[in-house]
Amino acid sequence: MMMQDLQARTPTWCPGCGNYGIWAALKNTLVKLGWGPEQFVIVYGVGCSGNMTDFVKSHGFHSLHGRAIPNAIGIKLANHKLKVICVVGDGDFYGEGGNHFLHAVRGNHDICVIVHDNRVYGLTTGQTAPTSPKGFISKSTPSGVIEQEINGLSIAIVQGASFVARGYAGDVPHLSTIFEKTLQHKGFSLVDVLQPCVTFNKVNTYQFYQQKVFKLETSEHKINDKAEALKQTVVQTDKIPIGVIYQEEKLAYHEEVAVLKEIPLVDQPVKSPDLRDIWQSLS
Amino acid sequence: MVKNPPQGFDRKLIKRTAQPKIVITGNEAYVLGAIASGCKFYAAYPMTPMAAALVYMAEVGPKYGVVVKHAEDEISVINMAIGASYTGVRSMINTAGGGFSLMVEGLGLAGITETPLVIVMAQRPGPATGLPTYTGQGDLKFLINASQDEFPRVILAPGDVEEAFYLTVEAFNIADKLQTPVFVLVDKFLCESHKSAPIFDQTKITIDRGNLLSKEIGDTVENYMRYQDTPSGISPRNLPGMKKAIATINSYEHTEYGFSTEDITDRIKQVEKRNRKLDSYKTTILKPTKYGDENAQVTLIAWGSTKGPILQALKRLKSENFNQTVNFIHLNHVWPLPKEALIEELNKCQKVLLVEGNSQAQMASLIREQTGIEIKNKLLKYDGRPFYPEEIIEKIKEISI
Repeated sequence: MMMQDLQARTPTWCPGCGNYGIWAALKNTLVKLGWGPEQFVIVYGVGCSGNMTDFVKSHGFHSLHGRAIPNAIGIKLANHKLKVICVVGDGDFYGEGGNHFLHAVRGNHDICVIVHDNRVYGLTTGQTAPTSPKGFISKSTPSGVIEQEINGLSIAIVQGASFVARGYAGDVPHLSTIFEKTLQHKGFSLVDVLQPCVTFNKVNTYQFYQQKVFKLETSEHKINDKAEALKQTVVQTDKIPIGVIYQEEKLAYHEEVAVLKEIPLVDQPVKSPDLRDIWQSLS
Repeated sequence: MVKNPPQGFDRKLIKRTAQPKIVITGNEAYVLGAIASGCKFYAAYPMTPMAAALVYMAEVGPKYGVVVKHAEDEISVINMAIGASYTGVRSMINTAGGGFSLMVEGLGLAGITETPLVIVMAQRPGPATGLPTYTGQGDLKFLINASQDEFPRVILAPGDVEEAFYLTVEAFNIADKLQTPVFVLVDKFLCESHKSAPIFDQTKITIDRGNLLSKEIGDTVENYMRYQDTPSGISPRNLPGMKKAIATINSYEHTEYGFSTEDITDRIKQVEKRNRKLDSYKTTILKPTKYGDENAQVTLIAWGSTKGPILQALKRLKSENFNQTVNFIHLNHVWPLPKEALIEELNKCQKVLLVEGNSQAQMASLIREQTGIEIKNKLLKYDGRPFYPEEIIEKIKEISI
């Protein structure tokens, strides 16, 4: 598959939006991995991130706000040959779909979740998000948001995610290397991508992130050390680590479902099975 | 026949010659209907009165290749099933009114993305937690109207365990053919009552996947349109994994290709295309079943599980030589209503009595809305208990004076 094979409509995002960087990195990675359209599905939530649905030509499912994860799990359980990628936003995934997030992680479902984390609601023009920092002044919180921001990466690590990473939309080559790893990971993977919203978030800008991010692979960080990974996501310093924070090998949900051991559900013939044993048990 | 019974016993044991029967609940019957339809994905969140169906499916389903998922909530249940169905796997979900309330958003997703889905909805009195372990028929209008805006849906209401089995099979075919959600509407009385029945006849089952692209076409077709505007409203359905029939199914209003749109022409075209899917279906709905004489002085009309007590009442009236003739029209296809057939039948009736398990006579109101015919005599029950034949007989006698 070539880059032009993925070409659909021209994006409608604001000029300078961080979504462009994530879009580019995702397409780069799909082309580099050499996947054909028959190998993957992208499930989109609803938000500025979800609008990517019209900008990538592939099998896709533009879901509801917050519900991309259960749709993706259903797709994976029904056809586990497919790689299932979720393109979601921070309000979409940590807010509206928060419960699905907790349980998808717990099940180590083999889906790859890319969170476009701009720490604000962009599509609805600038309200606070679950990832907005405490005190964030937005249209829905003119006096500053009271809640503490959600720490999605820590939650994911604690709940058993097998791949946890943070990317930065302003560094497309680096983000592409993360996507390359996450798309080849088996099990639940979460990539939270710091994404400047140039229109509605005047705090978390490109300049803000440019000064703070550092690449984890340049440090002594070990990605298979859970306590160390948790430390990287819990301890707040002036620097923000980007890169793969945690990865472990373990069975994905579908690998533990006995029915799915032989062939994917979708390859089973749709016919009426012989139910004589059942009638016997009921008579 | 046992010869020479022991002394003191005046009865003889006779070996049964009749066909063996099964003893089965409504919950088990529709679960088996799903398995018999080739359903391979079942998701639910336990709630009375359908929790036993989840338990039964978890027990027997995997033997027939069914993945059974007890998800974290009903929102996830419906969305997982929509995802599974999108891949081409026949999928069913199961809930009661409270859980269905959470699913309503997902119902619209199945409607606009045109994803087949079978939903077994088990009624119990509400609202909210209501009378959790009792029965009722209060959710008919809720199901007809659930979700914002409009899209086609079908509601089937079995009256007994056999109908629960066969109508579930029918629900899967309708869902595949119309590419839209189809309900099997049951209630606590049907779900959790044990009945004996003849072994269900699997030779009666046909499987119709509707307009589903073959892998061969899906891998070679050019310029594929998932939401193609066809005369029937039904578009050829692709599956992920196909090499050329590539599309995004879209919760936003969309073009024929599946791209999001706000264009006036696209919008009108897709609304009308979706609506048209019911046109062909409406012509296939069977007439409501009539029990008893073709013409009678009193006609009972009802839907769903009230069938049992009503038939019992009719039997007793006959055995006591009641001085008026009574028959009974039972509706399985409650949405869309078999309008013309109902008008024809109701115009023949002398006295009509509606029997329904809710306080506002939802079916009577639906019949009036759809046919213009007003049914004045009503026996309504909303105390959570099923109808008893005695109270039906009493009401028939009251209106017969």
